[in-house]
Amino acid sequence: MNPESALAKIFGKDGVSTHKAELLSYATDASQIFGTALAVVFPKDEDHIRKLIILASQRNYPLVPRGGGTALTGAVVPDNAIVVDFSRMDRIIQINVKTKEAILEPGVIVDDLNMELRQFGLYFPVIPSSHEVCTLGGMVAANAAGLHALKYGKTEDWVNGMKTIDGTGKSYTFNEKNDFIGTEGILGFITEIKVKVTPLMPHTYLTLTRCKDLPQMIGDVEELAKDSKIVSLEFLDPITSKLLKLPESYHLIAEFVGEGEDSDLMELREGASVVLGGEGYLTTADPKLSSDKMEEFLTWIKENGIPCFGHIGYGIIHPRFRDDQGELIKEMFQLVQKLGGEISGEHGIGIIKKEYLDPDRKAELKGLKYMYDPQGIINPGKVI
Amino acid sequence: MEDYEKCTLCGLCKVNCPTFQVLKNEGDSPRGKAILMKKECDDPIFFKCNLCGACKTSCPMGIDLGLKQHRAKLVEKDIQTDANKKMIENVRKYGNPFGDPDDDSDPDELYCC
Ligand SMILES: Cc1cc2nc3c(=O)[nH]c(=O)nc-3n(C[C@H](O)[C@H](O)[C@H](O)COP(=O)(O)OP(=O)(O)OC[C@H]3O[C@@H](n4cnc5c(N)ncnc54)[C@H](O)[C@@H]3O)c2cc1C
Ligand code: SF4
Ligand code: SF4
Repeated sequence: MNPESALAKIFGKDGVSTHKAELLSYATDASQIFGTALAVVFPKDEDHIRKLIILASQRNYPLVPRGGGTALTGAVVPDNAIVVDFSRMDRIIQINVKTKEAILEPGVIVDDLNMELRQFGLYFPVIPSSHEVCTLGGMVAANAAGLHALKYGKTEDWVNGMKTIDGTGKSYTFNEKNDFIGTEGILGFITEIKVKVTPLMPHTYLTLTRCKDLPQMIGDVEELAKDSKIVSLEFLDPITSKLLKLPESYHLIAEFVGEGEDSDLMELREGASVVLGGEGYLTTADPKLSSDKMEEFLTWIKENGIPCFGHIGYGIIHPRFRDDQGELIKEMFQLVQKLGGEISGEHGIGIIKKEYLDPDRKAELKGLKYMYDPQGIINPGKVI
Repeated sequence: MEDYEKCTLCGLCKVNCPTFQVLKNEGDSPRGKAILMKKECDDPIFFKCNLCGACKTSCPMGIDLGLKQHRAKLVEKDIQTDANKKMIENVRKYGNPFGDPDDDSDPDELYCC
């Protein structure tokens, strides 16, 4: 059953594609897992979404909400589904300077929001490394974190309200935290978001510390994290340090509010992912560990020769793996579970971490899924 | 190994792609094109591209997807748009992409990449 003509009735000819090459482009995300898209549609408003859900529910078409498609987990990979691309629903509806809030359509890109906010001396402080292309809808659904998570937390900490439509077509208006945050689009569609914004961060400066060994780095992290002026605390392991042409030791890059010399240290940290990718370490993980378990975790990582870097001040580590290291990835997740850590600190579960999801959380999410999407048509096969 | 094979499909190159910024369709983005190359899908969609090279500049790995060379290969296989065919025909015949320079009437269409 070809959905094209029925979809064109809702979205118009320009708002739907079943062109083979375009569908192939929508078959994956940054995880490089491939599925099959039946069609892609470009909603412009809530009405489009509501009509789409009625059609999909009548014909049992699975629907995959998609923002910038930067998920590293397979969260937007369609399994014979219609991809709902929010890129054209990208209006900044309102900026309220007095209340320091912005109302947005879900396809707004975080950098575009910050460009608009700048003129009012404001900004949205959750800035993932994919900030140039990732959307607020995707960030809310994935509960993304950014470089300054140590100071500003995650996306959920900045959501003041949302409008959503669930898998039955029912609309909701929330004024607080709700089930649609961080559930990776498996319950329904986010159609509007109200976020808090904050005055532009004052000038910051960066420092680089070379640590003698792992215990010294852990000690330094503990000390630095107490500093009230710190806004980010990143680390590089010896393998990554060497690839970045630093001495082969652990390094800490700390960012503080205050006057200090400008430097290119953050580019150094941002280069970590690139140099490791260039060495064939393409698969990234994002476990979150408590500070008292960090040393044990990083010791295991080191013993297994796994390169890593990450937001150590916030407890999120990015170990990197080659394509043929699936077994090692499994072992790592088992260790994270044993240490009581989170298997995903920021990227989400998607497809690739499904089997490691905490059973209690899985049961809770299954209950929510049944409540909001009993037919199971919204982003099936993900998370649970 | 060709450069495009190293592409990690991160999508960061979409930010400065003029084609994607106007059309907002992943299929028209540099990442979309990288996917098609990886999957060996030949399609005229490669002509929805200015060959501006902005994708290389915004790629953290500096990947050059080789879109110009790829397009040349597609033309050899006669996979191209009518506009491209007409443009080549005009260049060969009149030495410019737009058509007969002595034709003073307003053109209905402009042929260029
Ligand atoms: C190079 C790179 C760097 C990254 N750095 C970070 C980082 O520093 N921190 C971090 O947290 N993440 C990071 N990520 C992961 C990713 O960018 C984030 O998860 C981001 O929030 C995804 O946004 P997106 O718009 O691309 O969403 P997508 O990838 O399109 O979707 C993400 C999830 O949101 C759902 N979704 C999207 N729009 C909607 C909607 N309107 N309604 C309901 N559900 C929706 C999707 O179904 C999916 O489950 C990085 C990824 C890359 C490729
Ligand atoms: S070369 Fe083509 S794909 Fe790359 S940025 Fe320019 S228009 Fe986009
Ligand atoms: S060309 Fe570079 S920026 Fe674009 S998707 Fe590939 S790796 Fe990412």
